[in-house]
Amino acid sequence: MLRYIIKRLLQTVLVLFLVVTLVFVLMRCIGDPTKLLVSPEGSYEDIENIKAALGLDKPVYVQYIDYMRGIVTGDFGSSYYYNRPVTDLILEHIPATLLLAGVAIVIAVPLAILFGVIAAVKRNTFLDNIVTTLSIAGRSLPSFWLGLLLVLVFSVFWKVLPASGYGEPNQLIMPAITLAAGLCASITRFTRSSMLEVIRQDYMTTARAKGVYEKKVILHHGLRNALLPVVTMLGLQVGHLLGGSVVVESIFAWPGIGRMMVSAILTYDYPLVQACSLTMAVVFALVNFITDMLYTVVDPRIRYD
Amino acid sequence: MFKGLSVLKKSTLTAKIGLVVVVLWIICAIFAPLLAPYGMDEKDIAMRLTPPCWEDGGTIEHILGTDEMGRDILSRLLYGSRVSLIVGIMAVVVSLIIGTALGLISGYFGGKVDTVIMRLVDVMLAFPFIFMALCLMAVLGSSLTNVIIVLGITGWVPYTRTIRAQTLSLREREFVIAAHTEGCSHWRIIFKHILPNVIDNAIVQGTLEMAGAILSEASLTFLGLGVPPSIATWGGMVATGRQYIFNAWWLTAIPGLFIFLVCLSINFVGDWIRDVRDPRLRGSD
Repeated sequence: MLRYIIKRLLQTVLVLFLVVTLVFVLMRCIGDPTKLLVSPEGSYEDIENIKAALGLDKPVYVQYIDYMRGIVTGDFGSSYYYNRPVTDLILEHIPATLLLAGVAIVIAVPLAILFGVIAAVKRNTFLDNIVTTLSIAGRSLPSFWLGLLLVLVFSVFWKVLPASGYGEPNQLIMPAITLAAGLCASITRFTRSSMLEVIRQDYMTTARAKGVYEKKVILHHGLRNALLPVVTMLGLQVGHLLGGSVVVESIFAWPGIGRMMVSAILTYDYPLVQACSLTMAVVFALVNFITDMLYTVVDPRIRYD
Repeated sequence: MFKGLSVLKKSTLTAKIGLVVVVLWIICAIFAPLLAPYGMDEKDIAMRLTPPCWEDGGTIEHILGTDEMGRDILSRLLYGSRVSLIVGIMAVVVSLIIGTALGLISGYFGGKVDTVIMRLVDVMLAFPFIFMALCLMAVLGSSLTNVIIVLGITGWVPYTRTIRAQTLSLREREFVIAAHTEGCSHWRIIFKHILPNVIDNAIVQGTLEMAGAILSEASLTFLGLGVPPSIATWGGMVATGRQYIFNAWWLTAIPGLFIFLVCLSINFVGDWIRDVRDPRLRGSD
């Protein structure tokens, strides 16, 4: 078990290293931030001075080594645009993103499991068709459109919810629903198929033959086993959730990492983009590491030796 | 052909609806200049922000209303359908080719190559897709071709994973071993013996991914880093409509509805094709 944990940790570190390198390469391809920082009347010397101040006059491999050294020692540099340490900016913006993603998960997961189980148990009935069709609809829904439709209905026509902003609980409702919709659709679908797989198993028949109540058969014998793959799936969905938050935060002016990252990309703010993407990748890698570990706890049959 | 028709007759209601919408969409895209009542950029400032014809103040001349520059929404939607069709097909083709090639190599050769490709898959999964796409679009600059390239090179992971899994099992089958003993080269085995057995699954997966590609293009364009605003796109129309959301609801609601309906229909048809081919997979992901 310990060996497995160590191996898995090393793999996570390797993936993060590759992500960081990829970000470095991508950002260096994007373009030169100095042009944006120097006023149009600025002389050639001004540009060179700023380049030197930002360390962009050094050879690329030296920049890469400096960058890696910074990451290892926890120093991510300062944002070109805000002129503040990137670490502070990330710490300021991450609670908003985590809150949004957390609420979306709390809304989506219980609903999705409920829908998925109902659809599987009532397979090929009217109810199942509705759930399946709705989950396909959820997958086809552009999140920016859903968000704007909610704004249209609740802020423009009925005027019951604020169109954007952060801080009040009622400002959280629409962004969370927008983010939750896609997640709910894909987990519903997955729970349904996982449950269908379990329902066929012999132990379900055995439980019924023993005279166990149908409800208990479904919940204790069925759902428990069906949820295992759902846990893994949920871990992988965190990536989609973080990506989705980029769009949702942009619509609702939500002060999270996603929105900050889009503006950082548009202003060539290398250190900020690097830190944002690293944060997202770390969150994703950690969640998946934890899901893998949880797996062994939830399912005693699995032993990683 | 007749067999195809009888399968169609037995298809589900959602698949029939989906098929009709998809066919209409393709017709609109091909014949957009003939069907559109106005040109893509034909402006009539006097008629700006006219609501759809069923609303107060709407006219029959602009059935779905006009935008902030007085351009006809219906005409722009028809032209916009071309972008979604081109992006949907081309992005899927690019990622299908990359994904299939990597999956075949990974599954067939195994060992170090496999490890490298699988780590690459991990990296792609650890990276929020939209972020990588945004970065790449910022590198390449916004244009229709670049959107296709970016969606193509970020969308190959699902194909690689399924193709690799299938190749792993096919590699051990008798016909592959027989080909080996006959002295076939690795590449011949991959192209002549394994590829034909895995390609149709990849294509079915491709139909489903097409909806995803269209959604991604719309999201990128919406964020301002996709197709440039000079071309009429559904995502771009929603983005401009957003600025007028408090006084012109139709600018955001109608183009978004088109994206939704087309993606929904593609998903309906894709799911149905998959179920017909392999009933065991019904309702799985």
